[in-house]
Amino acid sequence: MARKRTIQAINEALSQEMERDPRLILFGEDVEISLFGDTTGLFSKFGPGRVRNTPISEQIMTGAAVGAAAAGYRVICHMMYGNFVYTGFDAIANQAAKLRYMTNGQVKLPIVFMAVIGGGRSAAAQHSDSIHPLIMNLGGIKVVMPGSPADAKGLLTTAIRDDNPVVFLQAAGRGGESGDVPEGEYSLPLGVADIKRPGSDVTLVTIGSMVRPGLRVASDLEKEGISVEVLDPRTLVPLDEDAIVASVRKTGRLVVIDEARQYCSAASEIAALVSERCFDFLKAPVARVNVPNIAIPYSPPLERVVIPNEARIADAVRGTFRKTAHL
Amino acid sequence: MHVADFSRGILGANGIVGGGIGLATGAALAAQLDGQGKVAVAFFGDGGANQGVLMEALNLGAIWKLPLLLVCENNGFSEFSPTPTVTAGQIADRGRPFGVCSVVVDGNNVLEVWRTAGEAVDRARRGEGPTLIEARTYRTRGHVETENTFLSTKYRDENEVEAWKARDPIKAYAAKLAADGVAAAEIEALERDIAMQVESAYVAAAAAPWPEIESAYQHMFA
Repeated sequence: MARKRTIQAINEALSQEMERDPRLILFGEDVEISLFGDTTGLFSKFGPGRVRNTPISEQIMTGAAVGAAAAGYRVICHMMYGNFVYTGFDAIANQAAKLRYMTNGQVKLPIVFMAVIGGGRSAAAQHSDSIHPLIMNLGGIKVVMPGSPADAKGLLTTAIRDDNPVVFLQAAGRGGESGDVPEGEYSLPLGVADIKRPGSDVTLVTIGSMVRPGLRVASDLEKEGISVEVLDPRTLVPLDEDAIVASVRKTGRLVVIDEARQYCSAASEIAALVSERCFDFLKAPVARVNVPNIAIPYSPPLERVVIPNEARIADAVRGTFRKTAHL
Repeated sequence: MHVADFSRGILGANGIVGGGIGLATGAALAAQLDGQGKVAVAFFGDGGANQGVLMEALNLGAIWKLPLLLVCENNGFSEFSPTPTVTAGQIADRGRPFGVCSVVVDGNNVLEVWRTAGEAVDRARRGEGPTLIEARTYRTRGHVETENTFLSTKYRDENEVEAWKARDPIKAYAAKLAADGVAAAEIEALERDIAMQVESAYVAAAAAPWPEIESAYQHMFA
């Protein structure tokens, strides 16, 4: 174990997997120089055959990722920002998500589409979306959202080795956060949630960028006598439904924090799941803390209000203990 | 529409117009990395040529010198719209600004198409990058086989359709073979054999049972 930043953990996973598998290739905009630092050094290490800058042409990037995977390569397609998935969406939604199904299982498509998502850095509305709900709804694509450097390394390693398309989403501005990261090869299974902090009064499901603020809120609320269990699903497709259900059946309360806009968010899906499977155990209505149904603003004070912050999260948790919550 | 056989390198006829262009570009990248002389071919229509992904493929294919053939079958109709009403200029010209070798051929001339494709394959294998082939032809069938049952107005003239049917490339090539001295019996045997293959495939498909309900839930993931 050594303390590393998330971006280093991702870089380590990419480098180790490219060393391990000569048929793993990586391309995207500016990956040779690396805007975020996640692909730093890969071009000099693995050369222009396997690591390539692409033009700003997301349609052909995603389409070529599917084609190269169908032709036997393992592909990492770096989309840079989550919003750019929109401009390359056809090959993700119509090809990657469906070709295996449409051809009776003839083809494996081992592709990782990587992107940085979410706000917090005044990148403005067109560089700040949290796109995971859109991908969750496609059906044929796995969705990975690590909330710590170690999870980033372990989940990315598994995502690369997976024979299916995976969207790997790193929280914007969280690349610099550090944590203990196992040395050498390290993989974590997809579809297994992690209890980041055990508790008994309320379950706080935290997704991606929300893991850290969730943990801080849990720590603060302990001083108020509220024992918060922080659960990180880590992957949204597949979703560890049983872990969420078991936690809520134990605590009787659920708050979900998710940086996506509220409509049809991951939080909405998890709330629905709990209403179906934990209804008799609930002591309070389920609460969601999301970005409201608006674009992410550029202005820092506005952005701070819109993105779930610790005050809003703490209020939502406290709210599940008020009788008025039932109204 | 959705025929695919990955074991033979057929990545699928795509339900998305122009959808195969991106896939073929990726397959061309794989072929380039394999270094065994494989090439990738995307077939699309004049309708597909109006998808922005063609520009992206031409650009990427050119800068990476991908072994890629972009074959546009310009059949005069983009779904139900005559090509001139939705398509500016000549499609083959779209490759030229990228330095992509671009050619127009008579799509109903089997030998001309064969020669042009062969030259493009050679060029791709020499590492000289993609070729854009615009094969001029005509869609004698509908965009949808049953279109006459739901279209309230005609979008083309029957005489025009009949005139193009007379230029059927298969018939024209059979006539050329006959003129070159191939025995009529040999040509007939070939046509009979192919007709039987199609017929037996149809019979087998019609006789096949409906899929098991469980199969609806299979194959989303490997």
